[in-house]
Amino acid sequence: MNSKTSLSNTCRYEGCTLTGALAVTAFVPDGISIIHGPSGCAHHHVSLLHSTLMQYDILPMPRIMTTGLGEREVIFGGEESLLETIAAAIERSPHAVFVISTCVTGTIGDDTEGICRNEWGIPVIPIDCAGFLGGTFSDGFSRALIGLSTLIGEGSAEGEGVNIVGERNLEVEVEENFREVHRILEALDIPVNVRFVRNTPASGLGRFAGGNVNLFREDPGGALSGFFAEKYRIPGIVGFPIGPAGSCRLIRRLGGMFGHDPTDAIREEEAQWQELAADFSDLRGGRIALQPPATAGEWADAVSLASCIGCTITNTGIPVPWNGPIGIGGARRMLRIWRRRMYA
Amino acid sequence: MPEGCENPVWPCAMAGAAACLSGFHDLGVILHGSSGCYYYTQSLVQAPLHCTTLACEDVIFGAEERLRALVAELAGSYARIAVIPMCVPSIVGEDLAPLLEDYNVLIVDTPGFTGRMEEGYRRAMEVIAPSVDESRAGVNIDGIALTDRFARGNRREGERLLRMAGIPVATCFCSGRLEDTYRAAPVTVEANPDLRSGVGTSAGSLLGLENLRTTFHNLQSHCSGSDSDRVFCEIDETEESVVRSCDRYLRRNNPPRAAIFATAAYAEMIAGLLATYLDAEIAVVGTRNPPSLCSIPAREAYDLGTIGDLIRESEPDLLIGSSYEHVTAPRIRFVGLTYPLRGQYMLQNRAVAGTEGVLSVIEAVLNACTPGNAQRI
Repeated sequence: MNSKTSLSNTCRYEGCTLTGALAVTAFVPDGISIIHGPSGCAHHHVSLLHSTLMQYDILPMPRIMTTGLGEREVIFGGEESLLETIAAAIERSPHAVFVISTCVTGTIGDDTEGICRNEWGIPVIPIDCAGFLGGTFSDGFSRALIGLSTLIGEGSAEGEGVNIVGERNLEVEVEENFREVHRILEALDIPVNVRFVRNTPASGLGRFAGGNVNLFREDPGGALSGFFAEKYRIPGIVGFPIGPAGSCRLIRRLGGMFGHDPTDAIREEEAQWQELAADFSDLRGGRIALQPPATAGEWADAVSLASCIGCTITNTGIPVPWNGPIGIGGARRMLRIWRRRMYA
Repeated sequence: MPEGCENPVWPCAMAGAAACLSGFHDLGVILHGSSGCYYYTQSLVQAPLHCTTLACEDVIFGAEERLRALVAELAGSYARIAVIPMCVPSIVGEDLAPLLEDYNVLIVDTPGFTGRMEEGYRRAMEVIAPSVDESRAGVNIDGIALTDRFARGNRREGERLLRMAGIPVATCFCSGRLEDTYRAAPVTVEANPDLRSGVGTSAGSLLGLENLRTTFHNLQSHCSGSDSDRVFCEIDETEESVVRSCDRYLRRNNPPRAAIFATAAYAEMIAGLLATYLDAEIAVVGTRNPPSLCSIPAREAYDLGTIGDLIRESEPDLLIGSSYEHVTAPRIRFVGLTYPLRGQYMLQNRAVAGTEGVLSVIEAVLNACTPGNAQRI
């Protein structure tokens, strides 16, 4: 359900905005997400999150409420149901409520934003999704991140280090990927400021403005990094590190931005990649074809990874999976699968 | 809809219709809507489904041609095509019947907002409009739905017991060929009465030992030449085995205090088994479908907020339900009986119906309740 694959027409196959929005709002632990639509639509996403979170052994479910629109509301409008549901959500004492519109409310034309502007006493943030009518998973994801930026406010003097922005909360390796980034930051003695948004309470998002650099998990269109750069005047780096080239590039850029000498960190990083190459020395000399192929943005880093273990990428090689592995840990997990394929 | 519904745990009418229709392997099922709802439904029913994968521009400029093209493409691969319009095409009011009149398509207008899974399932059955062939030998098996993880096991168990009684299996609702629904036998047994098709005269349910006795007793009068003696023998042997194991358990342990969360028919069966053979106290019964379908006191358990409240109020030491209940109270001994059962591998075709179903349920409960045993289904 994420946008790892590069399908020719993702707007048809990438799911709906609602899933993308919930992949952000559901990871604000002191928030409640309201799906303004039929209860079945909410169930569908509850089911997805339940399944995903169980893979991480995270048992408590995020709080997702629904306005439960039925035939009556489809005919007469669902605004009354939304008012009641927001009130019911606030009774549960969240720090923020996120109202996500569905294709049903997009079609019947409820004024979701107008209702959210009422005086509720806590932030009630509309995420204008309109289900699949509003675009794809990625659109919903971006809109939710931008919507939640209202919780950052004008900024706090507190906070320092790197804001991690737009982690893919539904991907299985999300924590492993974060650990790779964290490892690199630690090597440079740079702290993580705020994970925006993964398990960061609404009340803690204000620290974001105190960050020195935003590191984006990805931002193919540049809209997210552009928005946060303009609004908070915080420089951004787009993309988690892939392959030895990507890791060393990130170290150099962070070193430059924070005024740290990256030489030792790069030497240490290169040594770790050499250890990885030694562990997979049996793959040396292999000719491989990446499936799906690396995107244009990933290509150089994919080549650096293949070269590191002594493989050559060619169209006629043994097909091996490519998933844009993050850091050494991601590469190691992927190379185990390559080994199985190459020896099959 | 419960006020302040938090984390609803049951699928919508569209998914129910898809579960019904996709059970027929000669029926091509098209979900007319967006990919997001399609992916979910596909994962739910685990059977081939097709989708028009609508985008915004299709809704603005019309999706009729896209649907027509997909129907034309699939028409050669299936005996018949069914189309389920999802929420938006249904709201904008596309008139699909004239558009698809060349293809003899079943149009099942059950968008998600029209209700819960069972309503969609029932509506799809109405559109299929099965009929009885009075001359058809055998007995139908009813209540086999792809959303039920025990459906395949229930079907096999129903077939086995009927064969044991010398009764051929006629039509299976909903599994098999669509054309068989138009020549159903006059008599039906129910593997899951919550998903009753209403086709033929019901001889009764296959859930629980008492129901099994009654059902096979009824079948003797409906089906000339049948002989249920071997089935009655097996029911007696099953009961002896259950009694022996439960007595052994009770010699060392107190009866469980159970909270049961399931659809009404399954919940009723489990409650009956636990009360009869383990002297269990039924602390609460929560049903996904209307609790009025239960003949024992039950509450609606449609969303995780309510489920959490019911568990806290009833203080059970045994929890029977889905992985939603399990994550809500992970320290309570758990038996998985209800969709979904995330986090567990389930490869075997286990039954809830029939004698094997009774053995399976009692075995799971005893293993879960026995001190020191690892939690398992």
